Amino acid sequence: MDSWILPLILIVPVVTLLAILFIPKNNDPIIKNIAIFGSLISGLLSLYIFITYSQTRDLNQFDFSILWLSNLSIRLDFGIDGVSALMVLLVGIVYLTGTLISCKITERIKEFFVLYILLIIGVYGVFISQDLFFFFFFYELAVVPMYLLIAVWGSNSDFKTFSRTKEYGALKLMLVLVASSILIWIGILSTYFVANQNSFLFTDLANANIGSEFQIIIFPFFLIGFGVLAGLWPFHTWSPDGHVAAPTSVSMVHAGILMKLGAYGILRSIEFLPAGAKEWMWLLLILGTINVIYGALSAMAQKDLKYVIGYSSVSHMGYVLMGLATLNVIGTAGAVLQMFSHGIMTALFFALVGVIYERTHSRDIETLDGLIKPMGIAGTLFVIAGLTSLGLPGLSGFVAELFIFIGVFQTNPFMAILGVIGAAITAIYILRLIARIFFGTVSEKWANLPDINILELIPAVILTFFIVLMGILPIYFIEPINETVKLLINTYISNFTDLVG
Amino acid sequence: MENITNNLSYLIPEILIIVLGFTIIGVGIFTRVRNKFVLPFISVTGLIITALFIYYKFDFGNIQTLSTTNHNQMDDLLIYGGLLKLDSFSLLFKFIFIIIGIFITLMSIDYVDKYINHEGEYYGLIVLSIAGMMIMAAANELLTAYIGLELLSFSLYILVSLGNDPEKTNESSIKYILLGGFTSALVLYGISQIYTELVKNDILNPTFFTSIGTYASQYENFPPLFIFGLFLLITGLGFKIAAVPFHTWAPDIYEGAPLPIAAYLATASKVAGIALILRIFSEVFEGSHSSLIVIVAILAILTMSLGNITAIAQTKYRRLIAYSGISHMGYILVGLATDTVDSYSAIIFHSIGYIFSSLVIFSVLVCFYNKTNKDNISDLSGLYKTNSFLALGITIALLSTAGLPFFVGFISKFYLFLAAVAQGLLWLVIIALINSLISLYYYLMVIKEIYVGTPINEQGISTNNLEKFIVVSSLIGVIGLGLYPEIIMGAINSAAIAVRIN
Repeated sequence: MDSWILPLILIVPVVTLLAILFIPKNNDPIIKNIAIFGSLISGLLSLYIFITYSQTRDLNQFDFSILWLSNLSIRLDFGIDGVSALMVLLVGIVYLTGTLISCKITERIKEFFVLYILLIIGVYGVFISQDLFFFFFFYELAVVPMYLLIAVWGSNSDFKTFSRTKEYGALKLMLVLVASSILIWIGILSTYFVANQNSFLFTDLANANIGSEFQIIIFPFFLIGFGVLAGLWPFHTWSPDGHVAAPTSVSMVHAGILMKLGAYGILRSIEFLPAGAKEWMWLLLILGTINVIYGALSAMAQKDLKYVIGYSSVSHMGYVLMGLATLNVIGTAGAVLQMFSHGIMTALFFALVGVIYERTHSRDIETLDGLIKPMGIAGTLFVIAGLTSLGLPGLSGFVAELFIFIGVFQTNPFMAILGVIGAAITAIYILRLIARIFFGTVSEKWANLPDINILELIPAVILTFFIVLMGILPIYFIEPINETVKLLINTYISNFTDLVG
Repeated sequence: MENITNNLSYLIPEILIIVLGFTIIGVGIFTRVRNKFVLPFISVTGLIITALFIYYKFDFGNIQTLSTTNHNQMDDLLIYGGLLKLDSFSLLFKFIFIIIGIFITLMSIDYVDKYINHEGEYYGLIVLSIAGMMIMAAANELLTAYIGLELLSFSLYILVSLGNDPEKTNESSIKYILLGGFTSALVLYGISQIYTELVKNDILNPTFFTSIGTYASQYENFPPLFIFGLFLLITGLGFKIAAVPFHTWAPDIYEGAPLPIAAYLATASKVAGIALILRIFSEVFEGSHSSLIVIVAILAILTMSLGNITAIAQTKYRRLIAYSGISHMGYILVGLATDTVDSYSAIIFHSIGYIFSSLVIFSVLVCFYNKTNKDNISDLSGLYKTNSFLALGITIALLSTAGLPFFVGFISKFYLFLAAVAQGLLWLVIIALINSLISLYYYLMVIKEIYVGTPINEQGISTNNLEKFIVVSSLIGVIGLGLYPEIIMGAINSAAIAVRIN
């Protein structure tokens, strides 16, 4: 039974997708109900997987493997470890909340859900694949629907001094991501060839003892290739443009999950290219730190509310990259926690920005004012997200960033200090933003806006619940990933040191 | 030792096809058939019977994996003193040609009804050209291959000239006949050079691939006349698959030919060229001549890059598809430069994937053209609103050709490139990957028109069940093979082994 849980987590969205596909158009309520029902089951399955994993910590309990293509001995191999269990939970949460938020969409709802669920299938697949080929297969699959999701259902950013169309955002995102995947193609093809294991399984590649000379050459391909999706500076510019142009729920999935695929990919490639990782991590540390500072400074300069959140994502992904770059247990664990924390937090941010935009039809920070009066609940939730973002203790961001800073401090104190400065800048722009749009005198235009409705409130509360839960009981999240990260760092990285030494 | 037989029963598929072709032409000429479904029905039924015959008679489903390195030559049959070779390679390709023929015939029904007066000739020549391609795939000797090539080309000359836009059709049919005839002459001249060279050296059966292979393997550097002959031969084949620099005909001809015939040129005729190229390369250039591989690699780079870069600037969808088809031949040439069993397998797989996605694209376009009579990419604007089914179909096919999962284009490119990297051709693969990115750009531009653009004419475009059936069944190929390629890998592997290890 258990070996079918992981395929099931893909099958449920596939069935939902097919069900929606075969319902005639103009049956919006039915389509919405099916979408919500499907995402609810997926969410519960994800929760089940996470809880079961964290209770047993048995790496093999969900193993599923079949031969898919004999010529290349590609296996469809699913499995779960602490990191992917947490990520599966993240996908489940964001999928469910995003679906609820999307029910507001009125135009072409059927096609929207088909593409949206396709995106979800892609991200689920990445996190449960134990085979490099399928990892990449699902990774690319997640990119496929993005263009249409943004270009058809997105919104333009139109300011006097600055305007970007949604088509621009969509095209840029798509081309940059596919360009970066060229690097991953090269990496995968040559790794498979050099490893000479006749297998794409991560474990086989990791045990292949790939020569360190080759690792040092090829690791940057994976690092940059995946890094682009993680918003690595200076290849990050697609991400704010894409986030802003995307419709709310797609922004949630995109900033909340899709960018994590990049970080997760780097983590995975450390496993089979440890020597390359050791050699190049200084670069990731520097670029990650630039991400933090540059992203925060850019966020400060934005006028469009969604761009602020978009750049703050770039900045926060910088912490993830810094954490990964430490290659020690505490930093890497921090990076994984931050992936989860930021995923939840940014999803909440985008959901609330969607709520505000829906009511005011403006995302201009200059014109929004005193929104806490008419929209008390939405405002409160926004403040919680903001406080998470600047790392207030008791909320999820604090634990993650603390771990990362400790980890970075052990490897490079200077960068750690810069990272803390980045957190301070974050505090400045987040507090300024909150002060400007929620507090102060409310202008008459906004005085009679309706507050958040129930369909928007449920997802926001779910997200907030997890933020707070991780803030006050981080142990539930740290323990399951701890073992996996230890295994990764202590076995692969240290083993390699021994070999070299 | 290989089996040699003169038993006519092995030629039954070809005979069936030729009889079928003449029957259709005859019925078309001597009876005034008014129903548009009669001739296609005869044609499709005949083709299906032939396909089933091939499938059951020749134990086509016999599965081999690539680990079986020793090809059992007892499986091969040489017919008529070795003029034709009946192995899993030729059988697979015959099967492919017949399937394409069925699709093209079905796709043409409304088009022929609307634009073309010579129904009988149209459907009959498609069937006859299949016979030509079947001979090409089975040929074991240069002159037989040439006859197959000519049978195909002559049918195509007429089919191309049946187009409905007088101005463009005249231009393109004359161009095709002149260029095609010229290339045929070159090929024939090349064959004569090779023949002379072999006869001079007292080699038996001088036009047989195996004899040419034996002759070639004696030399480090080929004698000049022999090189000249080969060069002309390559030119002819390059013309057939529209590889740069022999590609210029393709966009013009696609524009003037009837749209289903453009689809036929893009799929069947190219794949027949690929089949012949694979056969000649594996048998003649056995023992890999490095200089030749460099030439193929250069052709591959030129073909991919020129095809893709020129495609960006196109405003007419037929020309866009023509150039994108050219660039796909570039990927095939990457596989040819790799020259291993794996890469042969990958080439065949990629071709099949290419066929299916092209069929989807063309069947959608034929549908569109029948209803609107428009030729520009910008006319596709807002197709999503006028017919979301066609929009979805062509989008999937375009994304598949761009190499995105879960469509067949992804795994076929992955396989092709992996085979190339295994032979140390990483640099070539990198160029191919960059080309994939470029192609994604112009496909996205088309997709953008379809989904984001506003329709010029709000009127919906209707599709009947037949059109839906064609699009859906070729889409099943694109998606099904992308999700589970293993299903045809057995047949592909046996074909690749049969042709590469001999």
